[in-house]
Amino acid sequence: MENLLELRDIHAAYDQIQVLNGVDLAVPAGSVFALLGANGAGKTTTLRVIAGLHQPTSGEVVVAGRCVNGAHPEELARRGLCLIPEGRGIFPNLTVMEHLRMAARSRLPLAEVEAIAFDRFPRLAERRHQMAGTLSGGEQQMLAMARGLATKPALLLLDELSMGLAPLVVESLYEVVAQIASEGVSILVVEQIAQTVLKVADYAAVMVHGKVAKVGRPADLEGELSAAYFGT
Amino acid sequence: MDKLLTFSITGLSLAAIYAIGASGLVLTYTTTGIFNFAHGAIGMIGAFAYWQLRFDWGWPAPIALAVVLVVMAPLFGVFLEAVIMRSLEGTSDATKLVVSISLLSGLIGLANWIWQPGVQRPTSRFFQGSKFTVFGVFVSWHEATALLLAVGVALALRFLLHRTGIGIAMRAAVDDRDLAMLNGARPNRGSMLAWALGCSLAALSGILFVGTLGLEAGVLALLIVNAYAAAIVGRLRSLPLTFVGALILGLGEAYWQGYRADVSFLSGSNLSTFGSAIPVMILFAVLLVLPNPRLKGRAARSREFFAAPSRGAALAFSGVMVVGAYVISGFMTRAHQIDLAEAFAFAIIALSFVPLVGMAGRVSLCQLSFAGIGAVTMAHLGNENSLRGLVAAVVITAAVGALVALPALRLSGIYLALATAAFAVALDRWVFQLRSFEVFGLFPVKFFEAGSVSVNRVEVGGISTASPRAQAMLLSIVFALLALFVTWIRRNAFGRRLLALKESEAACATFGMNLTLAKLTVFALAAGIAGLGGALYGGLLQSVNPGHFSFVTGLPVFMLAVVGGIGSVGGALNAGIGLATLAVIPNLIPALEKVMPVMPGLVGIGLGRNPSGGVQKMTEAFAPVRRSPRALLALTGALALLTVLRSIDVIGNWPYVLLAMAVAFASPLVATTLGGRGSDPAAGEGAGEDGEPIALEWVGLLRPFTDDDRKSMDLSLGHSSGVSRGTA
Ligand SMILES: Nc1ncnc2c1ncn2[C@@H]1O[C@H](COP(=O)(O)OP(=O)(O)OP(=O)(O)O)[C@@H](O)[C@H]1O
Ligand SMILES: [Mg+2]
Repeated sequence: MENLLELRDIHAAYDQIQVLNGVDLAVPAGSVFALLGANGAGKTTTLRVIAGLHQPTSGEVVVAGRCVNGAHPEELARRGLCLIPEGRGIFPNLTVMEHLRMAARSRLPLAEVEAIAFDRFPRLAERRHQMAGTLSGGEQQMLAMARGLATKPALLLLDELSMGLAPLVVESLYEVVAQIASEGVSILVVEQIAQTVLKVADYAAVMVHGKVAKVGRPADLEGELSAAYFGT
Repeated sequence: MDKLLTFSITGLSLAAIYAIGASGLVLTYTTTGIFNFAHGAIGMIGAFAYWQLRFDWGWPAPIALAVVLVVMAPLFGVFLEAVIMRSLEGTSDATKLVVSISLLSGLIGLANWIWQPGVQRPTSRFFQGSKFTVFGVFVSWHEATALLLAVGVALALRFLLHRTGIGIAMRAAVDDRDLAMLNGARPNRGSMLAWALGCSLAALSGILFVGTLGLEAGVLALLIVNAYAAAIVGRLRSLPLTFVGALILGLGEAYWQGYRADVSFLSGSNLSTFGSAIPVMILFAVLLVLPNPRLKGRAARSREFFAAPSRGAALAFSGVMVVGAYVISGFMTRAHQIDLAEAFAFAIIALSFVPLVGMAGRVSLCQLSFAGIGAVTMAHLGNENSLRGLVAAVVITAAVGALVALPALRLSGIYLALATAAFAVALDRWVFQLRSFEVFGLFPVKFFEAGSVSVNRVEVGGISTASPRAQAMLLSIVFALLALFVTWIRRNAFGRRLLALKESEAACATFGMNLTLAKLTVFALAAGIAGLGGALYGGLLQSVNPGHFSFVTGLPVFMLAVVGGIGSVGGALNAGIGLATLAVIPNLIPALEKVMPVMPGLVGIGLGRNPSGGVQKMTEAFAPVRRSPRALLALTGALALLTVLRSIDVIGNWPYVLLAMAVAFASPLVATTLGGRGSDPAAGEGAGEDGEPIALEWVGLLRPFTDDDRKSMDLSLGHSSGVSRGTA
């Protein structure tokens, strides 16, 4: 099967601090890939490198067969790569509708964007003129997802969808993830808490100290996880 | 009734001009996070450019307007964004502030260079000042145009920011720039548009002002400072509130002019200049009343970094400086001795920035105004006994400093900078213009007596400092002592408290630190230092006027201190030397005279690249020399030799200076080839460069980690197995 995203020996640093020490990763097209690891393992940094927000010191980021090192994040976004960052990926001082207009800027007409977003998350339709900063945490995460999906991405990068949300909300968000995946979108999910994401993931990898320590099917990895988290 | 209507219309049109200027400011601030102190100066340049086209070259008004507003101003905005502002991304508030203040100062210099000041420049209002009547009151078309334009600007901006894609993207980038990019927005385009529009609006308000007032660079650039008050009412975010603020300002000013004469207790001569200070007073007041812009929990981590100098280094620095001043002043003409003394006077004033800005992270733009108060105090109280005058200057300015700080305690960042700027401008426009008056009939208060006052030079214990060289020595010694004092503060508990205050107020509060006392103390301390510097500076000049201590004059002092490195006494010295050099260069190269006022601005704008200041860089470059005793000896020997050669007139002044500089620059190279202790940076375990023990948190920064450090760290953290883990 072809890989939509490949990372080849990525090294990255913040100032003098080396954070990624040779990350190799391959996300097959149309799959859900879970990237797990303890705090500070470098997961967020990996996603930032893929999205073009952080320049790697060496290595290659290959999307759909093309090396995209040095591409601007906005260009990648316009070409169908969507990162929903850690925390709430929203603009607190913009209304829900304005978020959708942002989404509509790059790829699709507004009407289509609205249809996609409100279909998936009807709750947002009721709050279309509310400032995003005043939405509840779950609604904010829905809005972030809605905005991402409405761009019809080919590759979706999700960073800690579950952060600070009730288990039920997390489950429903992951149902959406599974649904999108079934429509052919490739998804790379970063998570701390493995249980929920491993239910929907096709593949999983564990990251330790800026390197991928183990890759495999979710079932094969269960045993490795405690090692990665507790460093034993 | 007619009178009310007349002044209301004047007030409304003034409000319209303020609103246009302020909305441009708000636009650039919200979309780029940079509060543009130079906004007024850009408007001023726009006004001059318009004058040039319209009145000097006689172009028709619509064409001149179009060229300035649609072509020149936006292009200038785009240029600013691309060349200067974009590189400020991710720098601290202070750095952004300095760059825009430098721009302000540079643009004033530029305008004075191109359009010679003091020349009458005829202007007229739009439509040649023709009028129409409303309810029996004359309204000029100029005023009506201003009103219509303000309404148009309000509607257009509202539409842009809420209805257009690029406007929404601009607001999105304000919230989260990275996320906006992830949405496919191009924030740079948004910023560029904001700067282009901002400059256009600034120019428009500047042009409208010219119809009412004359053309003078400094006045115009600061006039739009008035508009800042309106922007602050809108808390730099809300355009509707900004318009409300503009209304308050415009009407307030118009009614003051209209009705002051009718109210007996307002018609006193001391209030005649008060009118022009009203907007800055309102600015000050609004800053104080507005809801607190929150204690910033996690201050944006700034790139600036200052290490504490060791006691030995500070002593050596002071000693070398005083001896150097003594030796060099011996070779100088009297005029240059005065220049040297002036350099130290400015260095003392600039030194007041070190505890306040460098340590506590509080930007004050009124230090030169404090110096002015010090000079005035010395003038009036130091006549019989100069020492008494000096003490009074320090005490009174420190008290005024604390008084100014008291209401401003909760402010920080640009808000504090604005409040102190407002204070400085209020002194310029009003207080420093006052004649003497009695406070409740108790004691007289005197300022510059609406002109200039003479200041005595210091005389201590029968030693007079009347000669220029004695002045230079006095000022260098005072600077050296103050530098030691400031270094001592940096190293003691109070200094650490100030640094903590700079890093995070919220964290300090949770530690139970008394923030109020620390802030008040540092303000009073800084004001006192500036006051002392001002008193001595006054003595050096012997006659001072308000112009010596104006807000605009103070800007280069601040900028050059920042460029030198505002966290170190070396930065202050740099400011002094820099200012004196700027004053001297035109004597040497007359062609450069007009360029000089632009220089501090250019230097300040260049700061973005090196936020810790030049002195820090130089110190780093000289590190090998300090570590190698042999190189240090060689350097001292070479300088001594040159000095001897100069004193027996084998070489002249210029070869002396050039050779000394060459020796200094060559010394790091010599040191590295000589080797010595410098080649082994870890020499002297557990100790810094000069053998003193250094605190744990500096290990790794001042010298590399060793295994011993790891051991002691593990011990103190209670990791008994710490060392063995590495080998397990
Ligand atoms: N802007 C930054 N400057 C300096 N260091 C950083 C920066 N961002 C991250 N780091 C460091 O890089 C390392 C990896 O961070 P990263 O955010 O990628 O971890 P993570 O795996 O996403 O952790 P978490 O699960 O806690 O989100 C951490 O040690 C972190 O301290
Ligand atoms: Mg993370």
